[in-house]
Formats: sequence, structure tokens, C-alpha cells
Amino acid sequence: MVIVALILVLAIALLLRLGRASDAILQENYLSTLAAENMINDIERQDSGVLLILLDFKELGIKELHESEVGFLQWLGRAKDNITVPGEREVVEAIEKHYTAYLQDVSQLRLTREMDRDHAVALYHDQILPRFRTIRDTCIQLRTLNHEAMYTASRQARHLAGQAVLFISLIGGAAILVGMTFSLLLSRLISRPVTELKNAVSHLAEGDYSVHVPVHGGGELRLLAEAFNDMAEKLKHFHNMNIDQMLAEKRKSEAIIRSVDDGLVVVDEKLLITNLNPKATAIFQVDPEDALGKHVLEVVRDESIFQGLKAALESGQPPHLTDEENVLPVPKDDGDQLFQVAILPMRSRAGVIPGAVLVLRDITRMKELERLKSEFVMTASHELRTPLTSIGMSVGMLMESAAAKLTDQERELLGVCHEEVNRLKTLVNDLLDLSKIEAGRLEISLEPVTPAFLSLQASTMIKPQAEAGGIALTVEVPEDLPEVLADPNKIVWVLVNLLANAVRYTPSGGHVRLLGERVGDAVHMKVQDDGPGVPREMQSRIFDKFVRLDQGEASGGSGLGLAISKEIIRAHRGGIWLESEPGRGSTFTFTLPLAGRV
Amino acid sequence: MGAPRILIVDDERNIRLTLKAVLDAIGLEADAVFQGEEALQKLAEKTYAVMILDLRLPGMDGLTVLRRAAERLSETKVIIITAYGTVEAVVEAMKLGAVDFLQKPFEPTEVREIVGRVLAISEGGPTAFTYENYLDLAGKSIAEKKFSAAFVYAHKAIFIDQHRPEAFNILGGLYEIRDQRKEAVTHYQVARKIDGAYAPAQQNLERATGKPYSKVGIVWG
Repeated sequence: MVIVALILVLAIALLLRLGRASDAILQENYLSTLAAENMINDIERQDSGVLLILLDFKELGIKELHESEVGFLQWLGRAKDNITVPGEREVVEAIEKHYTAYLQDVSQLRLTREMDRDHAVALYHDQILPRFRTIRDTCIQLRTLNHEAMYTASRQARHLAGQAVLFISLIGGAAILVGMTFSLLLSRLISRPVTELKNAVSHLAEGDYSVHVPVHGGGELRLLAEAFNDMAEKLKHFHNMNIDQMLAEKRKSEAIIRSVDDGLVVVDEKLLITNLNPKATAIFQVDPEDALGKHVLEVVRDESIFQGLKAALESGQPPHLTDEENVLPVPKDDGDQLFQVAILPMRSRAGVIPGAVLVLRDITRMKELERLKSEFVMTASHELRTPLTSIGMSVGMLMESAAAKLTDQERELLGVCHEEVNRLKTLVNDLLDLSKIEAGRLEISLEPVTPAFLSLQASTMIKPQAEAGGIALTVEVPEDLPEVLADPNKIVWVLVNLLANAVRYTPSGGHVRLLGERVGDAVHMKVQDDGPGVPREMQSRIFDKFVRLDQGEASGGSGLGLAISKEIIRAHRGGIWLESEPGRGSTFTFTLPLAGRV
Repeated sequence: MGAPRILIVDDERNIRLTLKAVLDAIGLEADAVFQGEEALQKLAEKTYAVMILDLRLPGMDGLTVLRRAAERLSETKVIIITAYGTVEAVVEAMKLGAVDFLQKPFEPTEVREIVGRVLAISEGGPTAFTYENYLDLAGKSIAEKKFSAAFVYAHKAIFIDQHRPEAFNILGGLYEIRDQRKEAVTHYQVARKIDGAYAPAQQNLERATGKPYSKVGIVWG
């Protein structure tokens, strides 16, 4: 564009110079004019010379005549050389012709003057003066002609120049306009596809997979646009596929969350609720729309759950909830509804997702059933006491007074009655204990304690029994085993129970060992005997209630010791199991968590 | 006066029957009724050395009978029968004047032993049921691992004399057995407060408040 403007300026300058060139042509007109001017002057001087001769100033007149004649002819020659205007030639030729005649007339006059002055005057008057006038007028005509030509030429030149400037300006302007338009169009033509591509890429980056770049022109840009469209198309395809899949998965998981009968509340790392299912909204009596995005405490007004969620988010581990914290009572019209609380940090295969899930399981009915069961067991154990008393008393009396009158077999039968009554009595008492434990009255107070301490306590209590039975009791629990988190009394009870069983079932001369070892984050306590072992068919049921080994002599146990032991170990979050091979003894093992690992 | 008479108050016919049989066997004459009102009536009619009273009765219950018969308790010693595993009701009955108790299911020997003991102590007069008596009974029960019986006797002893440390100490130990550590510590503290020089309470207190806590090694005194 700048170049175009420059060209234009140059063109205008050239035009102006052209104007000046036309002035040069005018110069020639001016020469003609000058010639005419001088010729007029000279002819007048010649006329004056003639008049001087006539007035007898011959010398002066002749000098004047000669000088002016020379001047005139000189200028005439110049005029003849410089014919530019149409008609000028004729005028110059007329001047020449008249002047030639004039010169002849003047010569004649000079001759005549010598002879006849009057005749000469008459000649002047009749011939020379009119000729003089004609020449002068013709010269004036030449001058005027050239003047006019000059004027016309100058006017025309100026007009033309003006017009030219105008035209050039117009054309230049138009050219600039056209040029600008073209350049714009041209640049657009090149840059537009690139801009479009750029915009399309940003759209794509923002996730708008429906973008399409118009393909125009040819060459690399076309190829690029086509390749881009191709790519966008494929991306869209993949994206849609993923979206469909994700939507399907999302709907599926939402359906699952909705259909789960447990209350589910999902919170993010700031403890704001991100999801909750209809059951949860029913539990907390909130509007699902309202609850979303709220802080969990605004909906779940329970401090221990809040603390649990916080702990789960911080540690990425499910928090340890005590039995009391584990149950959330929600007041309802017909008494409290009870929910078992589970807090789970969210995990995926890729790792931990910041957030946690609160699961609330309705255990109202279960608890009620449990309560009814415990109540039933308790009532039963109370109610059984009266008939047991009557039977026991009767059997006792019979054994005292009637035994002598009976046969051996009858006495034996009476003995069976007595034995079984005693067993029933123990059973009734143990049942009561168990119902107390199951009713949640098993209070566990955990404290750090060394396994060696627990072993010593238990072995001290069982030693007399072992000695009485002729059984060797050895304790092999290292003093330096780390502390475990346990309720010492309960664990001592379990140990005593296991040791008592071992002593009870091991024949005289046998060996009972109490062992302890660290395994990972726990301590394993083992009670090992070399007695007859537990039959395989019994092993899986050994920790069930009322399961007793039927081995000859009455053991006197109720079959609840192991069941209670299992409850106690469970309350410690440990495990208890049996390894036994019939004929080669049994090993009971239970685990206790290390105190350092809380 | 002939042999001491016993009054049996129980709504269960078989219990009445067997109790009567057991007492008969040792030459004790017994009347048996099944209601509280009837029992009060019998008490008004005759003099009984011992009344064996079931706490759970239809209509008027055992505790009410005890309260109503309060003025006769100096001549008639009351032995409670309870069918419950818990002994709190028995403790209440002991405070109302009962001197001993039988917990179902009981045996003929137990009945004879307790009745015989009550009769023997009664010989010594109305004030013969002393602090020492019950302390002794509590100690014997502990030796036989009859902790609920010991619990009742210790309570009775405290009811008789609240200014001696031994029963409080024993009760503390019994609370430990029942896994009521806080209660146990409280009782040990009371015992020590009563008598700072009483060593068993001091030892028990140290152990019960120590770490790790173990109830092995209770000093009964």
C-alpha cells in the first residue's frame, strides 16, 4: 500500500514535470512573440529612419534604417525558424513579403529623395506608410497569434495537468482502495483458515468435540484442515464412546447407591456432602437438594461421626469406633432407630480419592431381636431355676435316703440324674453370663500390657489345677514381647479358660505349653497341649455355643467357655482359632493388636 | 417348747414339697404357704423360728411381707429364696431384716446347712447375728467361689456396722470380680478412710489403680 502511494506521488511529480515541459513548448511561442515585438520595434525604427531621411537627416536616417533592417531581418529569421502555431507560417510569410516590398519601396524612396523630395514624400505617403502599417499590423497579428497560442496552450496544459492530477488522484485512490481490499482479501484468504484452525483447537481443548474447520483452497492449509477435521471426528467418536460408557457407569452406580437399603453419605475432603441416597435423606430428614454441598455436621449432627470422618480423611484408614460410637440412635416417633455406622475412606485402584463414605445400616430390628433374645435367655435361665431346684432337691433326697433300697443299676440311674442336674445348673448360670455379654455388657477397658504379664497371671491361677492333674505346665512367653492393647482381666480369663481346657483334656503326664510370639502388628498367644486333640468334625464348631467334646469323663464345662472367649477376643479386634490333629494334641491361638499401633 | 417350727412361703408347690421333705428329714416341722397374706396370717397365729420366704410371690411380694412382718423378726429369722441370678434384691431383703438366703437352684445340703446355721445362731439371742458372723460367712463363700453369696454377706456386715474396713474391702474385691473396677476402687478407698492402717485395702487400692490392671491377687483380709 505504501508502495502504491509512493508510485502515485511519483506519477504526480512526473505529471508536474510534464507540465513544465509544456511550458518549454510555450517558450517557443514566447520567442515568436518576442520576435514579433522586436520586429514591430524595428519596423517602427525603420519608419522613423525613413521619416528622418525625409526630413533631411540623411545620415542619421540611413544609420537607423540599417540598424533596424538588420534587427528586423534577424528577428524575422528567428520567427521563421520558430513556427509553432497554425497560421503562423502564413503570417510570417506575409511579413516577409510585405517587408521585402517595403525595403524596395524604401530604396526607391531614398533614390527619389535625392531627386524629388516631394515625390518622395508622396511615395512615402502612398506606398511606404501603408506598407509599414501593414507590416506592423501583421507583426502585431503574429504577436497576438502567439500570445493567444501561448495562453491557450498554457491554459490547456494547466487544465490537462489539473485533470491529470485529478485523474491520477482518482485512479490512485481507487488503486489504493483496490489494493487495500485486495491485500485484505489476500491476507484474509491466507490467515482465515489459520485463525479458524486456531479457534477450532481452542474449542477442542475446551471439550467441544463437534468443531469442524471449513476446508477451502488448496495446498498445505487444505491438508491441515482436513487432517484436523479427521482428528476432531475421531476424538469426538472416542469421547462419545467414553461419555456413553461413563454415563452408563454413572447411572449404574447411582442406581446402586439409590437402591442400597443402607444410608449412604459421601463427603469430599472438606467434609462437604457430595452425594447421599434416599435412605440417608430419610434418616436425617433432609431434602436431597438442600443437603448437597452442605457441611456434613449440618446434616449429620453427630460429633463422633464427624470425628470419625475427619480421622478417615486424614489417615486414609477406616477409623476405630468404639461399640458406643458404632451405633447412631435417631429419634423416631416410636422410639429410637438404631444405625450401625461404618466410615470408609474412598479408594480406587489408582489410589486414594479425597473423600469418605458414611454407611448407616439400620440395625433397629436386629438390636431389638438381640434384646429379645437376651431377654429370653435371661428369663429362661431364671425360670429354669425353679424346676431345677425341685428336681435337684428330689434327686438329692433320693440319693440320701432311698439309695440303699435300690439296685446298683437304679443307683447309677439316679447318679445320672444328679449329674445332669448339676450340669443343667452350670448351664443356666453360663447362659446368664452369655446373655449378659451378648447384651453388650461385656465392658472392655483396653490398656497397654505385656503378654508376659498376662501369661504370668493366667499360669499362676491354673498351676494348682495342672499340678493336681499331674500335667507339666510351661510358659514360654518372652519377657521382651512388645505391649499389646488389651483388657488384662478378660485376656487372663481367656487364657485361664484355654489352659483349663487343655489341662482338663490332657491325660496325666501330659504337657501344656503357653507360648507367645510377635507376628507383624500383633502378638499371637498359643495354648498347646499334647492331649488327644479335637476330632476334625468338631473343629469348625468348637467355638460355637454349647459345643463340648464328648470324651469319656464328664468335663463339667458348659460348652460356653470358648464361645465367650471368642466374644472377648473379637471385642479386642483379634482372632482366635484352633489347629489340631487328632491324637497329636491341639493348639489354640488368639491374636492381640500391638499397643503402639493405634 | 418343742422343736423349732419353720414357715415356708413359696408359690411353687414342688419347692414347698421338697423343702418340707428336706426339713422333715432333719426333724424340723414346717408349715408351707403359697401367698404373702397367708404367711402374715400364719406368723400371727404361731411362733416360727425361721421363715423361708420366696421373694417372688403372686400378689404381695416377699419384700412387702418382710416389711409387714418387721416387728416379728426378732423371734422369726427370715431366709430368702431368690430365683434371680442377680443378688441386688437379696441385699435389699437383708437390709430389711432377712438373715440369710438361698439362691435357686439349691440343694438339700445347702438348705440344711443354712437353716441349721440360722437356728444355731438364733440360740445366742436376737443380737447373735453379728458383723463378725457375716464377715466370716463372706470369707467362707469367697473360698468356695460363691461370690454372689459373699456379696450379700458383705453387704449385710456393712449394714450392721459401717465403721469397720474389712467388709468394705471384701466388697471392693467382689466388685472387682464383677468387673466393676470403679465401684471396687471406691470401696477400697472407703475401707482405707475408715482405717488408714488396714493393709489389705491399701494393697488392693494400689493394685486396682495400677497399670497394667489385673485383678489377680485380691487381698481379702
